[in-house]
Amino acid sequence: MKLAESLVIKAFRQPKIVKDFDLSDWNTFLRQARQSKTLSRIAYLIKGSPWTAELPCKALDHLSAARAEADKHQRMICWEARNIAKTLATVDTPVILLKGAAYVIAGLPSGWGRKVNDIDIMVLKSKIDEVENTLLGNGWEPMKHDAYDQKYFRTWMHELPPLKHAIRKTVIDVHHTILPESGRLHPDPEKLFAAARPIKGSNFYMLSPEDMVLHSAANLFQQGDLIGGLRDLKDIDDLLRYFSETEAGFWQRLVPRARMLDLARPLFYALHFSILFFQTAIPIEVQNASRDDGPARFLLIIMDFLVFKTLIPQVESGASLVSKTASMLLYIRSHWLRMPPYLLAKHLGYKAFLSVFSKEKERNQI
Amino acid sequence: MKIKDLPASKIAATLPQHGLLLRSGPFALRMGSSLPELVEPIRLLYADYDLVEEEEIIDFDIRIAPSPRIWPFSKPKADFVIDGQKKFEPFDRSLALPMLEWGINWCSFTRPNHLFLLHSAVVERNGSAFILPGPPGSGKSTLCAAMVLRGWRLLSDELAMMCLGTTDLLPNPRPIGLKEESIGVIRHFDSNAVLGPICPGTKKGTVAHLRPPAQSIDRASQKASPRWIIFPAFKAGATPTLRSVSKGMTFLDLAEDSFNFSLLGAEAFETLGALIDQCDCYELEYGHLDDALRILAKFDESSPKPTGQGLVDHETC
Repeated sequence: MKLAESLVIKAFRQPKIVKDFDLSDWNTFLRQARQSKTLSRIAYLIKGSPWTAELPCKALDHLSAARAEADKHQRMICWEARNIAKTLATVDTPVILLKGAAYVIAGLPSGWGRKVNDIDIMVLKSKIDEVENTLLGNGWEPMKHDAYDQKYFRTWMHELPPLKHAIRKTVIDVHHTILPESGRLHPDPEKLFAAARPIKGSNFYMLSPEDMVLHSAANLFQQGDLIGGLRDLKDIDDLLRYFSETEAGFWQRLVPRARMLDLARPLFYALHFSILFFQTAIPIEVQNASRDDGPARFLLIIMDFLVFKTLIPQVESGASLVSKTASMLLYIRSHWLRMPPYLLAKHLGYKAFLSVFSKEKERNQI
Repeated sequence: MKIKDLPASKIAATLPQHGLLLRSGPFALRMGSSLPELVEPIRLLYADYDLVEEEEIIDFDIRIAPSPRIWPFSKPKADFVIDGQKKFEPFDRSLALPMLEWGINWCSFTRPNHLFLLHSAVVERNGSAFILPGPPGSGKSTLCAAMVLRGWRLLSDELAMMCLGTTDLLPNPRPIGLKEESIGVIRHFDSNAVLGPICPGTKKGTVAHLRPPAQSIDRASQKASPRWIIFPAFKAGATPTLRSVSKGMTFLDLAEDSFNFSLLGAEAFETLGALIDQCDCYELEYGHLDDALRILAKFDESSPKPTGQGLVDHETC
């Protein structure tokens, strides 16, 4: 399907368009929006517009249910952030909130209507053991008990194995940098900490505006497999729009900063796809500068194809074979970028062994 | 047009294709299945459901499909597909019917978050509704099934639904899931009860489903006004006892067992408060269904019709 025909993309580009949806459009739209985890985000874009009264009753029900779910996430994040701040007050490290939690606590537009499942924080690597022990002593528990997973995270990843609070069941990911240590790109965490800014009204920090965009770009195009990536790409669009209005010199700093942090390629993809999907207004000089960091034209054609197939929500039930293959190729790409070949072979070999010989997965619930 | 008006061959042909589009209380439900063994149970249990014949926003889209088999001789499995996406782990194909029912319930418990949802059975007579909450094993479904077989209207055996800010209960009558001994109890209680096939081996043991009465389905667009909250407590051999329960305890119990109390926050708090203000709250301990029904019937007779709306037609909130 073409990008401009996707109802979710249309609604993001111009929310008012939902007014013209007929019932069959609504069915397609609701399904696509759920699939791409963007329903609550769009529900927020529409909220309060005078024309919402003209929408079908049932569409309003679905939108208000989605908003209620996102509101719950936001309350949970606010409450959880307070608990984490209190718990980590004894550890001498700045605590940077990353991704969704940062958007919500800092009140950025990318947080509106966004569902946030885990809280991601970043602390100094020298303090990470102390942070982990403090969390473990205050109700958080490891989620991965497998010795291989524990070792894998600690040796190769940029974060600890996730921790879950025993009572509140909330999950926290504790990072010490923003990309896996085993990967190709190595942004210097010291530079990230040096540029971080306090979040008003809390004890937390957030990344600087440029770094926030770069982190989001790195997450989506360097380490992720792009599954559910439409929401993340929309985050990037939201951040770009917001910072271009509120931060003087944002555009001038963005590309040089990306090069300084070893994140020029992910930034190129982020800008490239944000323009294609959401028509983000990016100054032509910035686009030109970033293009130098892009891949060879042939590779970009392939990447365009794969990203379109994966990020544009499918209409028909079940993904087509082509989009499944595209997702798989992106999955392989994400692993390729994450670790050197010998490590990748070892890791996938172990996981394949597990999937065949480990105990049957959790029984279905009934 | 109802499901029972469709010839079996038409149902068998539609299920694997577009699926049947049914009206289930306030929801439009698309039910699809490419398992031929589900055709007969669906024809039986859903006979009285109306088909949705005009274009409408579909609330839940559920399909059961056989899982691809990887190893020869492995047990046949099936998948749940909700809105075109696989959900949950594949399950044994022999459990397809209880899984279908469980899946539709799962959607009605987790999706309609524009409504306040309490985990409880709801039945009504003369315009006044009983809310029967209770943990599994308390006999909630069995008591609900028995009441429905004696002429109470079924609103739901699992779910009390309210629009936020009002206490009128929205019906969504569905097949009533019975477990283990309850199946025999209900068979014995009423030989005319229509039960679906008996499925052993689920997580909750053997289950079977009671077909909801046609009348309850026909009246599924009429809300009911809640009047009593009764916690059933089945205890073998017990003499029937009715105890008053404080409104405070009732509030805590219902909030705890609600599907979206914390999700909806303050609005749910207000709605639940209004609901409990409007109801008398009891615990009913009983050892025989007939004892319980005798006591509950007296409630109906002794109470004046509730003030206000009683039965109101509704479209959506």
